[in-house]
Amino acid sequence: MTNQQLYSPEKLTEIFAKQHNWQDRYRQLILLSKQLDDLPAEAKIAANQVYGCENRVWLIYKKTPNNQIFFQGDSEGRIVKGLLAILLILANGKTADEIMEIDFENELKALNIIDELSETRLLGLTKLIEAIKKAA
Amino acid sequence: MTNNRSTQFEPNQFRSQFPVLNSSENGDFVYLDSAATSLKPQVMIDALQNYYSKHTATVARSLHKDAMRITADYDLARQRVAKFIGATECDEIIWTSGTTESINLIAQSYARSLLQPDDEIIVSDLEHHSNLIPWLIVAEQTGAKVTPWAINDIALSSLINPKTKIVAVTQMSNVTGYCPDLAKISAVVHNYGAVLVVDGAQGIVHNPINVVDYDIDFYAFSAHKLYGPTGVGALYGKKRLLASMPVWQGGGKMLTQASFTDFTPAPLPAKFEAGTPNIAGILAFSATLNWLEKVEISAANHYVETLADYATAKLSKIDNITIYSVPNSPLISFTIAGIHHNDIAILLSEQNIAIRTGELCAQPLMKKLGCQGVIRLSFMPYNNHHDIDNFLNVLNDALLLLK
Repeated sequence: MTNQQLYSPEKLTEIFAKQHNWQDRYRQLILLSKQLDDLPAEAKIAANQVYGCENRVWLIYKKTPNNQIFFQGDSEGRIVKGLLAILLILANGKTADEIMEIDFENELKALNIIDELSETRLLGLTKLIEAIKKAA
Repeated sequence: MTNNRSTQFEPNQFRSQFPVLNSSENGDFVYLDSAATSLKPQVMIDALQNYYSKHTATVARSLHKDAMRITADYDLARQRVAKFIGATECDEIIWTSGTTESINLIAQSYARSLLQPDDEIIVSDLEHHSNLIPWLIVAEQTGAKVTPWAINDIALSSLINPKTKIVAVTQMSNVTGYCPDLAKISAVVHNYGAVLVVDGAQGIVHNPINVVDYDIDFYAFSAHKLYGPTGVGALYGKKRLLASMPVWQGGGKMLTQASFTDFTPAPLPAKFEAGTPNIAGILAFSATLNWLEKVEISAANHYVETLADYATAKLSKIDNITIYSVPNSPLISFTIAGIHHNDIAILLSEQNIAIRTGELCAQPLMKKLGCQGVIRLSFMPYNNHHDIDNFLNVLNDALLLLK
């Protein structure tokens, strides 16, 4: 796994507070997708795939000796990858117990992102959140 | 003298019959996903409503007044389907839930009882999964094999052989809009004594076909792509074939005699129609076909072609675009290098534009085209130039966003 440098959760809040319409929020999601390094082809296998999303999404993780979890993820589409980046910014470096405590939906609402997403997309997002919590 | 096509087909008048496009709730809704399912005219919706709110009854069973009347309408529906596709007898039309069930019926009844190990089913490489998977299933059950046919690369005559029992091909590809030369295919298939199965799901909408003229053995289609309700379809089969086929699903009204040891199948078409059919849907489809008779289909098709040509000309100017569909097709499939189709779908849906993206239930064809998925627009006569302009504007915005 590479040591990707993600924004801090505070930086996320700062960025999204400045966006005033849906186009701008989507533009930020697309930019955020670049925060996640592309996974190598050998990691894009069925075992790492998150099912139930519209796009193919892959998720891998490792635990440090002091029980911090670091995820890496990738998706074919940039918008979904941007959403995944947000989730991973919120989860990375935390312990399993801490991750279980995160209210991802609420965090996304605070960033004004949830309202932009249709039901099916929300469902895909829920699958991603489940996959992160399951890993933890 | 004004005898041009525009006098026969009035786009605005036609469009006004589709409530989805005229609902203030939907605002500037752009529907370019008709190849997935068409929008529905008021006349179809009225017929559904009428059945459920005024004249609810079963068919071919009960003897009360409404039941008798509904049964007569139900029989008329079968006649209308027979007429629409040029079948000579109503008994050759079997109601199903759609193209998928129609093809599964052929596979599980006709093919399963006929195929021997090493027999062959030739399936074109254009097919939707619904005209591929039923053949894979029956091949596994019987030991027969499914042979792919690269329809644009090799002649059927060089592939077909005495082991070939079935050739399955689409009337029109749901990805490229390509329409195989069915007359030519039919002649080759019958030279070898095989049967020709045609998936008419897309083709019937734009090019109604005469099954007798083309000597088609089995023809499957769905109502929902042809302005009708979901959950209704038909299977046409030559009477000689249908009559000799074993029954598939068992249940009420598919038999004439039953005991704990055996049963006697009913005559056609009842023997393939176990259980209470989708009466409301069938009556609504009947109303749709009756309505469609008054539509100048060839003029409407010409209009759709002008829409598709207009859209193709504009799309061609986009950088790095690859168009996979054939000229004059009522659908356009394309990819744009470096842009994932789902990102386009998400951004377009934000602007109330309905299109289809992805593998379009045709993975083998996608593989052949060398893509993971496409963006597909599909047109019907209720669309207009404004729909296309609207789509193109939003697409351009999306592409700027994704740059």
